This record gives sequence, C-alpha cells and structure tokens, in this order.
Amino acid sequence: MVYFFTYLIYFYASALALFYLALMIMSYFNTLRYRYRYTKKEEEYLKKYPDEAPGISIVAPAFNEEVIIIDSVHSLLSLAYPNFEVIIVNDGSKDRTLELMEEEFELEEVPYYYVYKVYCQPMKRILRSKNPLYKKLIVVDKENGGTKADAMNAGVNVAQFNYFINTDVDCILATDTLSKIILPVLDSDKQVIAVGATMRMVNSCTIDKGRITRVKPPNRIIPLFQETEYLRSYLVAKMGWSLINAIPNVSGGFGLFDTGVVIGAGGFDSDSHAEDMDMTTRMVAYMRENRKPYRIVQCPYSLCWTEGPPNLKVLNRQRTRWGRGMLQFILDHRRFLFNKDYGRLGFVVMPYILLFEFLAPIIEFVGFFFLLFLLITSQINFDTFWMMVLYAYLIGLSVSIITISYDLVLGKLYKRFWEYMKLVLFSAFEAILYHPLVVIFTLRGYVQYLTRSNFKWGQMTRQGFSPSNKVNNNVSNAKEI
Amino acid sequence: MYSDYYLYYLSYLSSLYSGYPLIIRVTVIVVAILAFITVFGVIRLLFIGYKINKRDKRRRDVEEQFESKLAFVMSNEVNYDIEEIKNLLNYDQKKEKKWKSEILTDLVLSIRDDLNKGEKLNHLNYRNCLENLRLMPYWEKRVKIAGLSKRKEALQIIGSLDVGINTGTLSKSVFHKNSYLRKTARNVYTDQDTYNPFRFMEENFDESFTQLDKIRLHATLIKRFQEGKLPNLLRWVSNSKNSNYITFIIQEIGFFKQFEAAPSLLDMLQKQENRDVRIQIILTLGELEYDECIADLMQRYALESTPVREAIMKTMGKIQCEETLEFLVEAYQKTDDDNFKLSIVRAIRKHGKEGEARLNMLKGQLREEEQIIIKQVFAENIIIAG
Repeated sequence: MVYFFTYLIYFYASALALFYLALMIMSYFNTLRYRYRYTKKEEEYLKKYPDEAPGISIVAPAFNEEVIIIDSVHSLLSLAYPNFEVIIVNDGSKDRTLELMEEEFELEEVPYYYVYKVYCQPMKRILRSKNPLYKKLIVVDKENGGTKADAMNAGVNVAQFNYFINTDVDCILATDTLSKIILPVLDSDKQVIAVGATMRMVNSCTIDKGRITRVKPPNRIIPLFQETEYLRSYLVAKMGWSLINAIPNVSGGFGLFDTGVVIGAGGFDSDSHAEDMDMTTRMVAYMRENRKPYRIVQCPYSLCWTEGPPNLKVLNRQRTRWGRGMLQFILDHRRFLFNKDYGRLGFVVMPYILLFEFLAPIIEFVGFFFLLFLLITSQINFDTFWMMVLYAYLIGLSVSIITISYDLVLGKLYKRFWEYMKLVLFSAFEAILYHPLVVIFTLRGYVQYLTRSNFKWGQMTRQGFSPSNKVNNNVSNAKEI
Repeated sequence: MYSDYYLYYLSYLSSLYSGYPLIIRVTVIVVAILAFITVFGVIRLLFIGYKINKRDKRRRDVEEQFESKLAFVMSNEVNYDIEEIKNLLNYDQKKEKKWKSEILTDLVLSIRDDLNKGEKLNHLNYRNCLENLRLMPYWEKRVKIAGLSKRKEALQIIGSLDVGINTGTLSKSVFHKNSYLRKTARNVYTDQDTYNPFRFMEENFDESFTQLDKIRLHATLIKRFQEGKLPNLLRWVSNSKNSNYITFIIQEIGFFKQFEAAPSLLDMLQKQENRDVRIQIILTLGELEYDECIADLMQRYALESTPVREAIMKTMGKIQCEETLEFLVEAYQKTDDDNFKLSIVRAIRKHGKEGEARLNMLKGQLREEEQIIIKQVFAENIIIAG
C-alpha cells in the first residue's frame, strides 16, 4: 500500500512536469507564430479603415462600485478602436454607482425594447448619454441577480455587435486591446468563438484618468505571487493549449466571445461558481452538437489589468470560490468526459481538468503529508525526502522563470529590468509561502461545496484607481473575485 | 576547464544515491536537469534584458543623430538633390551595421507619417532620403534571402515605404507555400506593381482568403482608386469560385460606386445559390441605389432565410421610394420576430419625413409594449444627431 501511494504520487508529479514541459514547448511555438502573423501593420489597417473594423460590445457589470466606476467607464470609453460600445450593467447597486454615472455622463432614460435572449433578472431601464462625447455608452439598470453571470446576461441581451468583451469594471484594458483581440477572429478560416488574453495585476501600477501610465509588479506579496501565477496560466498553459484548439477556459476577467454562440448556448449560468469555465465548455459543446467547426484562440499580449487580492482574507475567498466552482464544474459536465461526440473537449480538455486541475490540490496535500509520514516512520531517509521536495519545487520554479522570459520577449512592460528579477526572486518562495495556501483554500472550497455550506459571493476591498480614492478604501459587496 | 570539479560533484551526487531504487536515481537526474533549466532560464532572462537595453540605446543614438535632419529635409519646401542630402546626413550605409538601417526605416516612416498628417511632406525629398540611406535595397535584399518572419516583415516595410518595387524581388514570395508570406507578397504586388498590378485579383487572389485579407486588399484598392487606376471589379467575380472572395469583390463594387455593375449583379442574384453571396449582392444593390431591383427583392422576400431578409430590409432602407415604404410597412405588420421588427422600423425611419409619418401612424395601431420598438428607433436618432 505504501509503495502504491509512493509511486502514484511520484508518477503524478512526473506526469504534471511532462505536461508543463509539453505546454511550454507548444506555447513557445504558438507565441512565435502569433507574433509572426499579427504585427502593428494589421492593427493600423483597422484604425485607418474604420468601416471595415467589426463592431465589439464591451460588457462590464457593476455592483456597488462607486469608488472606481467613473474612472473605469472613462477608461473603457477611451479605447483606441473605431467601432465599439460600452455596456455597463448596474446590477441593483445599493451605493451611488448609478447616480455618479448619471451625473458624470449626463445619462437619461431612453425607450428600449428589451428582448430577453438569455435569462436574467428583470431590466428596469436603459440609460444613454445626452452628450455626444459619450454616445458609445449604454447603461443597463437592472434588479440585482446576485451573480456576475446574471448581470452579464443582461448586457448580452443589449449587445448589438457580433462579438462582445466580458470584463469587470475593476479591470483596466490596454488602449489597443480591441484591435489586438479581434485580429485572430478576422484571420481565421473557422469561426472563432472566443479569444482570451494575458491578464496582470493592477495593484501597484500608476494610473492617470483610467489609463495605466506605468506598469509595475505589485508591491504586496500576494498580488506579486499572483502576477507570476497568472503569467504561467496565460503564457504557458493557455498559449500551449491554443495551439491544438483545446483551451479549457477563457477567463471571466477578460475575454472576447461570439455573441450568437453565447446566446445559442443559453448564456452565462447564474448558478455556476465558475461561470467562465462553464460558459467556455458549453460554447464548445454547442458548436460540436451543431457540427460547426470552431476555434478558441489565446492572445499572448497583456491586455487587461485587474486588482489582485491584497491580503490572505480576500485570497481565501477567491480561491474557495474557485474551488467550489471547479468541483461544481466537474460534476455538472461529467457527461462530456471521454464522450466521443465532443472530440477534444471529451478526450483532452475534460481529462486534463479532472486530473491536473481538480485532483492536483488533493494529491499535493495528501502527497506532502504522506511523504512526511514516511520520513517520521523512517520508511525513507532525509536524502530521499529532500530530493522529492526539491523535485516538486524545481518543477514550479523552472516553469515560472521560463514564463517570465516569455513575457519579456513579448515586450518590456516594466520600466526597469530589476522588476522582472523581482518576479524571479519571489518565484523562488512561491512554493513555500503561497502555493500551500492556495492548496488549502481550494480544498476548503471543495469541502464547502460538498457540505453545501452557506455560499457567499466574495467581497472585494476596492482601492480605486485615482490616488485620492486609494486613501478611502471602500468595500463593495458581493463582488465576484 | 572546470570539468574535473563538475565530474567530482556529479560522482559525489551519484554515490549518495547508489544502491537506492531506480526511481530515486531517475529523480536525481531529473532534478539535475531541472536545476540546469532554472539556471539557464535566469541567464536567458538576463541576456534578453541586456539585448533590449542595447536596442533601446541604439535607437536613442540614431534618433539623436538623424531625427532633426530628416524632419528638416522631408518637410522642406525646397527640393534637395541626393548629394545635398548625403552631405547633410553624412551616412554611408556600406560602412554601417545592418541594425542601423532598421532603426532608420522606423524613424523615416514615423517622420513621414507625422508630416503626412499636416500635409507637410515633400515627396521628392522623402524619396531622395530613402535613396541616400539606401533603405529600399536593404529591404529588397531581405525579401530575397531572409527567413520567413523577417521576410514577411520586410515585405510589409516595403509596402509602407510605398515607393514602388521591382516585382522580380517578389517572385519567390508570391508563390511561397506559407500562406501568410504568400498573401503579404501578393498584396504588396497589387499595391506596388505598375505593369500588371491586378494579376492576382484576377486569379482569385489566394485560395485561403480571410476577413483580414479583405481589409488589406480594401486598403490597396482605395490607393489604386485614388490613383485613378481601378478597373471594373465585376470581371474578377466571374473568374472566381471562392465565395469569400466573390463576396468581397461585390462589397467593393458598392464601396467604389461602380453603378454600371448593378444590372449584372441583379442577373447574378437570380442564379446564385450561396447565401452569403446573395446577401452581399442585395446589400451592394442598395449601396448602388439600384431601384430596378425592388420588384425582384419583394418577390424574393417571402422565400428567403432571415439573414437574407434582413439584407433586403437594409437595401429597401437605402433605396427609399414609395414602393419600398409600402412594402416595409406591410412586412412589419406580417412579422412576429421582435429583432426583425427593429430592423424593419429602422429601414422605414430612413425614408425621411414620410417614413416618420408612417411610423407614427403605425404606432397608433400597436400594443403599448410594441410601441417601444418605434420609440427606441426615434431615440437612436436623437442620440446620433445629438
């Protein structure tokens, strides 16, 4: 029995290492290919010939976001793209979110024939600006649905363009986001149903009027760890999967989606704790069931900056929710697993999620304590113990360092080189200080889901983008983080 | 040189685990490989950082040396000959490193684009600057000998410099097996050739033809149109079997207002089986305001799928006559689809005051919830006009 467990854990770690190695290689070639295909020249065409640029709706739900809403909307409205609209869904905010928008953007109620193409809580009214400067802005005022999914559906019902961006009001997008994210859609011979891009932490960046003027790695330790974690996820895992059209998830923080396919698949699921992964999977299933060829693409460039959990309490909330979402996802979508009708979804994506995302925290947790047990009971010696620990440690560290070098090759975003070295340095401590916490919080999420504990949507302490706002930290309730 | 040390520590490491199970010894090797990857990764990172800093410094130096001089020459109303520019710039490409040509190209293009915005560019001086800096030969050489990505970049730069090219340079690239390189080369050919620029347009352009290619070619056709050299586009439709390409050409016929193509398009509509092509023909007939298509479209309306019907609505909104207005009002009354009703109301609204009057009449006959559709379309206009 002891041998069985020892070998199980060992081979699991080795399989994980091999997977990451394969993803790193795939990601490398895919990133090279992406840079070769899409240059500044292609983006310039869209700006120069605005009639040819496909329209994009940006949908951003807001619930009690009075601290950041004005900066955020200004930021979204100032994106450099000729043909887009910004849809802010006020999800029954109890603070001054709507009032502030009404004052700042000179909003007034307009008649609107609202069609519920996908389910959401009732819409109260649609507001648009009297000022032509803000003619791209649409505000949907609706009753609170309690989840981001419900608010997103309300926005999708209003979106007039074939593609929409799913984002949050606490996210800041790069000025050229839309022209970068639409290029893979325009250049594909198959229907592109979703495009993801790299997200980073906004925590220590300098922001002026809703625009990032200086990108910095976070000063606080948790967002700093999360920056590297995000880079690994986007630049290695998703870029790698993108090469074989098997991206498991287009992030809920930022992603471009095909409006028709989202509606066809039934919209975002309000009951899901991982609505982004759930949506991506249902979109793929929808395409497979309708026998339509499709692609999901990952753009390697950093296009979105979001506020990361500043402390353990918020990290705990974030990861337990992700944990609940993961278990719920596995149970809800188990029918796709090894189902030949769903092709790659059934034979690559689902097994990967089950074995290397869902089981990883369980095996890591059990594996560590099992190793400790073997050491204490003298079934292994110290040399072997440390060798095994070093093995697991170096897998993570080497992947992180390679990821940081990929990021630097794509473009130097931090002004100073030592800021990259800071990421490297902290990567060395990630396995000791950060990763164990993530494992524990995720397992807590599994337990919560199984015991049907009282699920509360996470709370996020908003610091605001403007320096003045950072002084008065406010709490926005029920924000999904 | 230090191989003895390395061998010593390696043998020490293996001695530590000699006699252990195979799996542990394999782990030792894997850990050594991972440690190597980690150290290599850090060194690579430092090297990339060094290269980036060096590139930035070079860029700053070149800008400091040439920016003001180039801006002066390219914006000057006085025409300078090559010798004068040579004396001013004091630059001999043969003696310089190749990276300098790359940075200079970026610099020249950025100055040119800035001057173009204020219409201050002296085109002759711009050409003479390129001649003096020998940038075209540098990029043409790259097109001939460089690897795939550098070659594509070189082609794009030649297109941006926009001073013509010896199309012999492109001969390998226009038939290359890599579709990205091939399509870029064909686009540059159409853009820059003076003898037979539309050679590839007549041959379907390329078998893989995407939305992005449409935008690239659209830009090229606009340039050709401004030079007054755009032929009748319809002839390229008859030679093609690629529906994406046919759709694009028909769209361009509408964009460039080639009115003479309208009767042939209407004939084509009768025979066309591809839905996307039919939609585009209908939209182009609207762009060309070809009112003789009305009867045909009305007849077709009842039999077509929703996307084609939407296109018919849009075209009716463009043509705007008594007949189309009557048809739209009738279509509104017959339809149950709310989204479609919105499209119809928008088309009616485009009929000016008469359209508005009919909408007001219609509003009086509708249920309260449905009246919102009409109110919404009126509000859209207020916002646009605002």
